[in-house]
Amino acid sequence: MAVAALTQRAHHCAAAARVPVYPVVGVDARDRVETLLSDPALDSVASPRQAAVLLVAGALPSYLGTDLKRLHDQLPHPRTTASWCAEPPPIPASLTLGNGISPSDALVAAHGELYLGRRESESDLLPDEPPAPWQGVGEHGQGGEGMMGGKPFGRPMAMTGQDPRDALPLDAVTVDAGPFLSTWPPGLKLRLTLQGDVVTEAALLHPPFRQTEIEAPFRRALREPVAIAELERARAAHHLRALARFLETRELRALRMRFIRKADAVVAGELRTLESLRRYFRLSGAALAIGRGLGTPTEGDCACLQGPALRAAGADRDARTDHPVYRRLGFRPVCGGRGDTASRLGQWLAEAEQSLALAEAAGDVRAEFPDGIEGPTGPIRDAAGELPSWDLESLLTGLEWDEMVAVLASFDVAALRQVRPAVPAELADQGEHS
Amino acid sequence: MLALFLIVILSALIAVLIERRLGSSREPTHPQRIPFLGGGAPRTHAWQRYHVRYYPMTLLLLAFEMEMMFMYPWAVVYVEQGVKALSEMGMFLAILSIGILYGWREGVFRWQ
Repeated sequence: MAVAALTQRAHHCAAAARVPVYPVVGVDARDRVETLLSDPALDSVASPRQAAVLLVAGALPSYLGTDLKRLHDQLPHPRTTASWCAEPPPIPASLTLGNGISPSDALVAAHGELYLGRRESESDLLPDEPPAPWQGVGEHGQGGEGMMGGKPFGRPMAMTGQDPRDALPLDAVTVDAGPFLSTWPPGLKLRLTLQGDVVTEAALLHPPFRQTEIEAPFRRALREPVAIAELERARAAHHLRALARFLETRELRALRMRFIRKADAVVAGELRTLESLRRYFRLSGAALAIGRGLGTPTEGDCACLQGPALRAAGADRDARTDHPVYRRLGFRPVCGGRGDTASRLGQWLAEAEQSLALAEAAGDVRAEFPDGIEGPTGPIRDAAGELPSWDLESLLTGLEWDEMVAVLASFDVAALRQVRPAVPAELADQGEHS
Repeated sequence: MLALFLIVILSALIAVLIERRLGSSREPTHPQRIPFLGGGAPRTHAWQRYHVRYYPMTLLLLAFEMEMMFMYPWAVVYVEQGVKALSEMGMFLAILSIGILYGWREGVFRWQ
């Protein structure tokens, strides 16, 4: 009886706590999800095992439905799914956000109901069968019992493979690191072969989803005159959010919140300089902790890149140099030089500062860009041509896991969408177990 | 002392019993047990063999364990001996820490 009262008390405490949300970001939803999860009542968690709510935002393709179901079933009970998209998501969601009540209030209310027993926890979406049943006998009639007998539990054993860093052949585990990892760009799916935490092979199965929310003012500028200050502030906000995402991978959450709030202040026109941000970034040691030369693409691959990544590699190509308004403002493209991860991050910060200075100098000047405009991730034109593809595997081979996460966070989603897919999409589904 | 020990053990026992009531009585289903890969699936077993790395581990054993061995008898007498004993042990530790620094730069502390 006392235990029941204590249990009731514990449930009330849980209902009043911050809502642990695992975000699943689809097409063009990343910025609004980041803004929503910066609410103090919500807690964006790194793993579904800590989450009570699975937030599905943005459009998701239906062929990733199985992956989403797998992710949904990994949440411990009590759990619920919230959908924040225009069309229904691939999995059934018991809560739909965006209908009048503010999303964070709806999530807090749903979380409270979950823990007070008024809302049912969602059941599994995948059937309750072992994903790979025991197959004790091998293909040639060998084996039967034990670790080397055939394929125990239907999966091959991790065999030794060459280590790229020293000549120790260790066991290599192959995983399909899925489309909804929290520290990766959303939608990115890689088939990785890992020795310990060193990546020995990486193949792109699915590119990250398109995130073009920030491009709206730039696309408007293709058709009608738009204030230069608005464009440059949007560019600076994009770069600051990209740096905030990198800081999330380094687990510098307070600094990340500072960058996101300053990004919002930049868009509102309240921020003039990034002096304090630059000082905090330098003092945090985030860029220092990355080795020199980490994640440098080859010469040929650098030429395929666009936007800040290309300029960080030393090329001074920027569509703004040819525009008369920018020439009058005295615009010179910022060139990084080394092309590695640290220089790409520095490029974002330097270009954000330059954009703020341009916005200050431009005042009320408006301009139109019928021939194409330099967006935050590269040139934007009406007729989007086929972009050259580059190779990610050679970049990631030999990196440790957190180095790989840092390299992936230093590229824009647009640059990662240009990566050559290694395995055709239909083969990837056939080879999967479960 | 013994009473304190018993109290700690009993309260841990009571906490475990309460937690069994609070926690879910359902055993995790097969889909819940899939390792977290952001939605992807593993393609091999997670059973992995790790290399013993005899040479780096011996280096670390010498650097830390033998240093500890010499510090045990030193710890007994160093309070009486004063600053002289402290400085001698400091020199010993400094020489050993050069070895640790060498190991650090050679990747001895990296997880393989």
